[in-house]
Amino acid sequence: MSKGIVISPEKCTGCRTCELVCSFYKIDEFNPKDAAISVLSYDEAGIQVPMTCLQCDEPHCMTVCTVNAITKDSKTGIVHVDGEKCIGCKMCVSACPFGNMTYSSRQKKVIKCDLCDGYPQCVRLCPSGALDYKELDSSLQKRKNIASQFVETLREGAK
Amino acid sequence: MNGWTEKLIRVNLCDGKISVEKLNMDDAKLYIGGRGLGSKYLYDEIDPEIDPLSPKNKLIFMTGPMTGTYASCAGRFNVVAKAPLTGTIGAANSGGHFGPELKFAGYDGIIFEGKSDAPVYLHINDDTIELKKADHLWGKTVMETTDILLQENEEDARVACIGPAGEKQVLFATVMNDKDRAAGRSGIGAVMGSKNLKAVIVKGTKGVGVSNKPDFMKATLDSREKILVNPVAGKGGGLATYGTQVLVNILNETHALPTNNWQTSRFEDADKISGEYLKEHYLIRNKACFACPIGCGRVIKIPDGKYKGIVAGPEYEAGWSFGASSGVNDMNAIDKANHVCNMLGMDPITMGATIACAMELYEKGIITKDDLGGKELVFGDAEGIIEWAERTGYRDGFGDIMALGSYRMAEKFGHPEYSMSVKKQEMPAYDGRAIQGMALEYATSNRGGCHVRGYLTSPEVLGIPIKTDPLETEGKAALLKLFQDLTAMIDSSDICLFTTFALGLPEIAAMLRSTIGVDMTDEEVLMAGERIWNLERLFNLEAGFTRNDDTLPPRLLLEPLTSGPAKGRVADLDVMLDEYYKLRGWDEYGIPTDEKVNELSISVKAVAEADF
Amino acid sequence: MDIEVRLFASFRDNRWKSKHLIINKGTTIRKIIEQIYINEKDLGIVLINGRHSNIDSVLENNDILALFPPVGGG
Repeated sequence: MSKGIVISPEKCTGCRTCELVCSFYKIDEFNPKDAAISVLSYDEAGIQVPMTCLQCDEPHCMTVCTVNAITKDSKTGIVHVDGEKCIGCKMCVSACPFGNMTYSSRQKKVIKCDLCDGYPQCVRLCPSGALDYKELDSSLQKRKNIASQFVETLREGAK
Repeated sequence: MNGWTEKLIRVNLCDGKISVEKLNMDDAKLYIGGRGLGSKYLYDEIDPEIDPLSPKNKLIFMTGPMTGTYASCAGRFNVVAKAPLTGTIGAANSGGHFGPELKFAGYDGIIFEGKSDAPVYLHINDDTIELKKADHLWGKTVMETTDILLQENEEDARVACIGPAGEKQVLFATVMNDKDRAAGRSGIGAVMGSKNLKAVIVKGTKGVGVSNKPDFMKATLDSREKILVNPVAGKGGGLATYGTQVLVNILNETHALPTNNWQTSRFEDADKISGEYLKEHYLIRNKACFACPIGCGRVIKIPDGKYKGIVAGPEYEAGWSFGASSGVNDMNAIDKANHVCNMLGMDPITMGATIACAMELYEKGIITKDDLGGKELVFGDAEGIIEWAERTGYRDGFGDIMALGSYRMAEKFGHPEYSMSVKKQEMPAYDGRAIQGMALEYATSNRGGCHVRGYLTSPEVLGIPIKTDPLETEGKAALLKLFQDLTAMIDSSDICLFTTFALGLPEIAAMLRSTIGVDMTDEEVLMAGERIWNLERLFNLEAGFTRNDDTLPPRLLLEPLTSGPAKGRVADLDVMLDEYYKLRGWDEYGIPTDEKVNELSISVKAVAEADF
Repeated sequence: MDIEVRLFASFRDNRWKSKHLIINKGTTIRKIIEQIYINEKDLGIVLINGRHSNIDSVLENNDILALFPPVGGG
C-alpha cells in the first residue's frame, strides 16, 4: 500500500498556494516556476487543475536515468532524485509522459515532487481541499489519471 | 531578499528607450509599494495640473513588497496615474496573477512616460525587455488581445491590457489583467490608451524572498488560520459561498440600496439580482486570485445569446449599477453587461451608473429619443444596459457621450445635479443618507466617489469589526480616518482589502515586517497609511481641488430618503467634514498643516518639469 | 400579532425565504430564532424594519424581521 496525492480539480480555486509553499519549503523562496506542482488554468471551461508527479509504479524517468540517480522507495512509493548523482542530462524531463518533471536552470537541477518525504506541504496548506494525501486503494489507483481527462468531463458537466 | 526586488523598469514611449533603475529604497520604506509608492513617484515626477490624457502624464504599474509571496491574498498590484475621470490622483488595484509575475521577472514596477507614435506593447521575459508593435492588436477585445499575446510569446506568461474602450479613451476605461481582473476605477485605462500602449506581457522565473523566513511563515499561517475560520471570509463563509453580491439583500433590507439613479433606496426585485440568486442560477464555481484562501471570484455561465459561455460574474457594485441603479431585475442581462465591460475594458460601476443617469434624464425629458438615435431608455431596460455598454465601449452614437461618464454627460444637457458622482466619479451601491459614514467617505475620497477608500459599510452595516449606528454622525470622522489610513496601507502592501474581514492591523503588520525586515511598530505601519493619504491629498490640492470639492451630489444633501430607518434623512456632511479636517490635522480649507506634513516626513516637492 | 420573517444567504438552506408568523405579544427575536432552529452564534445581522436590532428586542405587530448570517463583500 502506498499513499499518494489525490487531486480534485473541481475544488481547485486556482490560488496557487501549492506552488508557493512547494518552492518555499524546497528552495527558501517563492517561485512557482521552480515548484514541483503547477496549477493549470482552462478559462473556457472555468477549471483549474493542479498537476504534480504521480509517483508511477514503473517510472519512465527512473528507467532512462543512466547514472541511477532516480530510485523508487518500495515501502513509501516515493520516486526520489539523488541530487549528488544527477548529472543534469534532463533525459528524465523528456521521458516523463506527464511533464511532471522539470529542469530549473536557476537551481541547476531537476525538480520533482518527493511528497516532502511523506508530509506534503501543498496538501497541508491547500485551502480548498483540492489536494488530498491518502492511501490509494485499488479503485483509486484506477482514478490516478491525467488531468486533461478531468477537464473534459467537467467541461461537459458545465454545459 | 526583503520582498522588494529593488528594481524598476522605466520606458520612454516617445523614443522607445527602456532602462532598469534601482528602486528608491528611502521612499519604499516610507510608502511601502503599490498605491503609496506609485503615488510618490507620480507626485515627484509630474505636475499635478497637467491634462491626464496628455503625454506628460505617466502610467505607473507598482507592486508591493508582499506581492508574489504567500502572505494572505498578496497577489495584487496598482496602476497609478493622474486620473482622467476625476482629475485627481488615480490609483486602481487589481488581483489575479499579473502582479506576482512581474515580481518573478525581477521588478517591483514599471513607469511609462510620454506617448508612442504607433500602438505598442511591452514584452518582459526576465531580463529581456522590449517594446513590440501592436497594430494587429488595436481594436481587439481584452480576451482576444490576451489570447493572441500568449500565443505569440510565452503561453505561461501573464497579460495586462486595455480593450477598445481604453484605446478610444473612454474616461472610465480599465486596465485589465488575466482577462477578467480589473484595475477598475477612475479611468486609468484611458491613460494607457492615450499613450498608444496596448498591453504588457510578462513572464518571470525568479523567486521572491522574504527577510525573516520563520517569522514570515508564522505570521502568514496565523493569518491564514484566522481567515479560514472566519464566518465571512473563511471556508464555506458568506464571501466564498455567495460572492460580494451577497450584499444586495442586506443593503436592500436596510433601505440603503440606491435604486433608479438614487431616487429611492429600496429595490422591489432585489432578490432577483442577489448573490443568493446568482449562486442558484448561474454560478459554476469559485475562482481565487494569487495566494488567496478566500476565493470570492465567481465563475458563471451565460446560458444564451452571443455571449454564451463561461465568464467571470459581476461583483456587488457592478451588479448594483446595472441592476438596482438602472432598475433592471434580470440577472442574465446584468451578467452580460458586466461581461461586455470586461471585454471592452470599462469600469462597470461608472458604466451602469451613467446609463442609470441617462435613464433619469430621459424620464425627465432632458434627453429624448432623438439624442438616443430613435430609442427609448427607461428604468428597467434589460436589453438597454447591454446595448449601451457595447456602444459606449466603441463610442458609437450616444455612447460617445456616455463615454464621458455621468457628470460630463448630464452637464452637457444642463443638469449635472442628476449625476450621482463625487469629483465626477460615480458613487457605488451604498446610500450615504442611510449610512452617514459612507457620505463622509465619498466626499473625502482621494479619487472621487469610491467605496474602497475606507469602506465604512463594514462597521456601519455589517458590524465588522464592531457595530456602529449608520444614522449617527458622531464619531464617524475618527472611524473614517482610521479606515482610510489602514486601507491606504493595505493597498500599498498590495494585499487584498477583503483580508480585513478576518485580519486587523497586528496581523497585517506582522506579515509586512517579516517580509521587509524593517522593524516598524504597528503604529508606524498605520502611519505609513496616513502618510500616503496625505500625499494623495497634497497632489489633489496642487491639481486645483479645494474644500468645495469635498461634497456630495445635491440629491444626497437636499432630498430626504423616502423609506426605511433613515426616512426623512439627508447626508449630514458639514458637521462630519469639519471634525474630519480637524482630526486629520488639516486647516479649515482641508489643507494639511506644516506640522502634519513634517510629522509624517513627507518631503516637500522638488518641482520636476517633464521635458516633452 | 402578525410578523414577517425574511431569511437570507445560508439561512435559506432547508428553510424558506419569507414567512408570516403569528406571535404572542412580548415575543423576542431570541424566541423566533429558537423556533426556526437558528443558533445565536450563527447570527450575523438582525434587522427589524431595516434597523439593526438586538436579539432580545421585542417584536411588534406588522414588524419585518430580517436575519442574515455573518456576511461581507464590497
